[in-house]
Amino acid sequence: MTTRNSKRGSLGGGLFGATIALLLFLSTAPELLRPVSAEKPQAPLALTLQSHLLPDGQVQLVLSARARLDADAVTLSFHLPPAVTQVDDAASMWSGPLAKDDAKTVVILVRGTDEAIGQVVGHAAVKAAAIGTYLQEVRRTDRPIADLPIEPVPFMTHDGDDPILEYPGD
Amino acid sequence: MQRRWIVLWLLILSACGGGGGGDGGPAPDILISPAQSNLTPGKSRKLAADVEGAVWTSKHPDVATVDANGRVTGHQVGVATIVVRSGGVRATAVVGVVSPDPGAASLSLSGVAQYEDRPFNEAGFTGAIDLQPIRHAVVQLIAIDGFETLATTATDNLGAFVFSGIDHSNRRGGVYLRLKADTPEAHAPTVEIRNNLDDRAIYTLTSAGHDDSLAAAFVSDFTARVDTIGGVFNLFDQFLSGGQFVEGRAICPATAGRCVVPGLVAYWEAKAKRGTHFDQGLGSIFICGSRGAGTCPAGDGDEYDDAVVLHEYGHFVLNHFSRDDSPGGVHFLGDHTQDIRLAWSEGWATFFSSAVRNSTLHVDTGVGLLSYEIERLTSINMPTLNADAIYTTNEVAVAAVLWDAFDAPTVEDDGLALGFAPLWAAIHPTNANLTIESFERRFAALHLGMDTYADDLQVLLKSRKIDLFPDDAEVTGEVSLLVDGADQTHTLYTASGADDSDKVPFHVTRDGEYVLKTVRLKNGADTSLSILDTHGDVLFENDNRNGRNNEGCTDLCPPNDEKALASEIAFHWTGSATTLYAKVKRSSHAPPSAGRYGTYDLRLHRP
Repeated sequence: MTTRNSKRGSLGGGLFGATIALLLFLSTAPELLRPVSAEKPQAPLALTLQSHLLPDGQVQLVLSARARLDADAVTLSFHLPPAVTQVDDAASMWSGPLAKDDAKTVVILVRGTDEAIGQVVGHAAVKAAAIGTYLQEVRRTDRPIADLPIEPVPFMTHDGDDPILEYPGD
Repeated sequence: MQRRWIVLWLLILSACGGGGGGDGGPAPDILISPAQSNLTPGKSRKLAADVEGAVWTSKHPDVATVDANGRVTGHQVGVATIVVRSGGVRATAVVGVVSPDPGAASLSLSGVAQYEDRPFNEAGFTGAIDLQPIRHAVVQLIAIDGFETLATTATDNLGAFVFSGIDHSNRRGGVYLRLKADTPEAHAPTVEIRNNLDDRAIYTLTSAGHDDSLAAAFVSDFTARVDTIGGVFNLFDQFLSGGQFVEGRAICPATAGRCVVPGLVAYWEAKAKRGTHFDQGLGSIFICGSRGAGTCPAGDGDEYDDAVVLHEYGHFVLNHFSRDDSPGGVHFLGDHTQDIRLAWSEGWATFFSSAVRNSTLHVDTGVGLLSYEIERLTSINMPTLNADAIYTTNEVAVAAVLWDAFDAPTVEDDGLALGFAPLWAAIHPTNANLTIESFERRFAALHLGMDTYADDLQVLLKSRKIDLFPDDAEVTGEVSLLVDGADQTHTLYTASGADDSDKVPFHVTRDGEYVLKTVRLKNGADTSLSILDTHGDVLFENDNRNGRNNEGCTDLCPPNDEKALASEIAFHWTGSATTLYAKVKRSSHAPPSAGRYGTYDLRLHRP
C-alpha cells in the first residue's frame, strides 16, 4: 500500500513536472501551437436554398446567405425555371451590405412540380474590398442526402489487426 | 500572457482527450452475435442482436436469407451481408456460405479492377462516366471458410491482377476477393484511404464468391461505382499520381538518391472538423464526401474534384520536402491582402495540382460551383480574377507565376518553360520561411551567371504586379517629393538582398503644416516612417498610423493593406525653410504575415 502510494505520488510529481516543462517549452515556441490546417478556398457566402411544401400545394423557397467576410454589396436572387411560378408578392431579390457573420434570408412562395423546384437556382453577387467581385449559385440543398441509406451496406472487419470497411462489389 | 497560459492548458487538456484534425462517429449501438460465421447451403443458424424489435434483412438473398427472428439460411457459395435495424441505428454481420466439399488444389484467379470516374469541365461534371484502372492496389484472396487470407497480390498499371497455383484443398470450397484502397508496403509512394481517425478502417471492395470446389479457374473483375466507393479509388489514383509525379521529376540531395515520398494516410467522409483539408500536425489529408459529415456540407463531396484533391496533396508535399509556415484557415481566392505565407502555401498547392494533372483548370463541384483557371486567369465566379490575382500576397498570383515558369513549350506564351525540377530546386530543401519572395531570391541565386531564367522570372512576376526588384531611385538617386504633388512609388527591395531603406528629400517652409505618409501598401509591405534633418537626426517617426503593434501575431494577423500597416506623420514645421528627408524602411515590428519586401507610395500634403 505504501509502495503504491509512493509510486502514485512519484507519478503525480512526474506528470506535474513534465507538464510544467512542456508549458515552459511551448510558451517559448508559440508557433508550434497553431492548429495548422490547409483548407480549400471558400466562397464569400455560406449559401443555402431550401424548399418547404405547404399544405395548399405551394412551396416556400428560402434562400439564405451568411457572410464569411465583410461584404460591401450583396445581391440575392432566384432563377425560376418556366415550370415554376412565384405566387406571392414578396420581393424575390435583396441587395445590401453584409458584415462578416451576418445573415440574410429571402423567402418566396411558388408553385411547381418537385422536379421543377429542383431546377431553381439561388444567385448571389458579392462585392468586397478584400476579394473584388464574386458570383455564387446554389441549387436546392434540402435534399436529405445525408440520410440516404448507403447501398450496398458496408461491413467492418479486420485484416489481421488492421480494420477494413468492406463494400460488396458487383 | 495569462491568456496564453489558459490557452496552453486547454490545448493540453484537449490533446489528452485524443482526436486531432478529424473525428469519427460512435460505433453502432447494436451488437450482433456472431458478427462473422459460416454456413453450408441448406443449413441455418440463428444470429442474435442485443436490441428489442430488431428488423433483419439480407443484402444478398441469393447467397443467404434471414427471417424475422434472425435465423439465416445459406443458399449458394458466397458472402452475405445481414443487416439489423432498430430505432434508427443499424449494424451488420457477415455470413459466408461455403461448399461442403474442399476447395481447389491449384486455384487460379485473375481480373481487372476499375473505378468509375467523373470527368469535369469549367462548368462542373460533364455527366459522363469514364472507367479508369485501379492501379497498384492490394488484392487479397480470401477463403470464405474462416475468412482467412490465402494470398495477396497487387494490381498493375492497367488494373490487372493474377493469382495462380493456390492450394485451397485443406478448407471447404468458396473464395472471394478483397480490393483495398491501399498500396503494397514495398510500393513507392504508398497511399491508403481510411474512413476516420476512430475506426481507421481501410476502404475495401469485395467480389462475389466463387465456388472452387466445382472449378479451379475464375475471372473476377472489379468495378468501383460512383454510388459506392468509386470516389475512394479516384482519391487513391490521384494521390498515387501526385506521389509518382514528385518521384519522377524532383531533384533531391545526393544522399537521398531520389525523392522518396512519405506514405500518405488520407481520410474520406471522416467527419473532419475543417472540411476538406491537409492537417499539418497529422500529415494527413481529409476529404469531404457527398453525404456530408462533420463540417462537410451534404452534397459537397470532393472525392471526384481532382483539382482539389491534388491541391491538398501539394500541401502534403510542401510540408514534407520544404517548409510551410502558412497559418492555414479560411481564405478567399481573389484576396490580394493575404498572409504572405498562406499565399505561398496555397499558390504552390494550386500550381502543383495543375502540374500533376497538366491542366490549368481548377474546379470544386458541389452545391455551389467554384471554377477558375490559372493560365488566362478566368473564372465563372470571379469576373475580375485577372485584375485581382496580383501581388506576393495573393495565392492565385503565386500559382500563375509558378505555372507560367513550369508549363510546356507547346502552350508557352511566356519566356520560361522550365518543367518541375528547377522550381523544385528553389524550394527544397530549406529551413527558411519560404514565400514567393524567398523563392525568387533562391531561384535567382541558383541561376546567377548561368542563364537568363532569373530575368525571365522577373517578367512573369511583373505580369502579376509582384514587385521583387529595386525601384528606380535605387539606381538613379532619389527625387524630391513635392507638397501636394504626385505620390512616389517605391519598393523595399535591394539587389544585394540587404534591408532596403529609402531616403527621399522634401522641402518645408516656416509655419507650414504637413502630412507625410505611406499609402497604397502592396506586396506585403509594412512601412516604418521617420523624418530626418540634414544631419541625419530623427525628428519624427511613426510605425503604424493606427497605433497597433502586430509583431508576434499568430492566428489574428492583420491583412496586408494600407489600413493595417501604413505609416503617417503630421507635423508643424517651426523652423526656417529647409530640406528634410523621409526615411522609409520595413517595420522592425512587422507581423510574420507581412512580406520582407513590398511596395508603397509616399505622399506629402497639407492637412
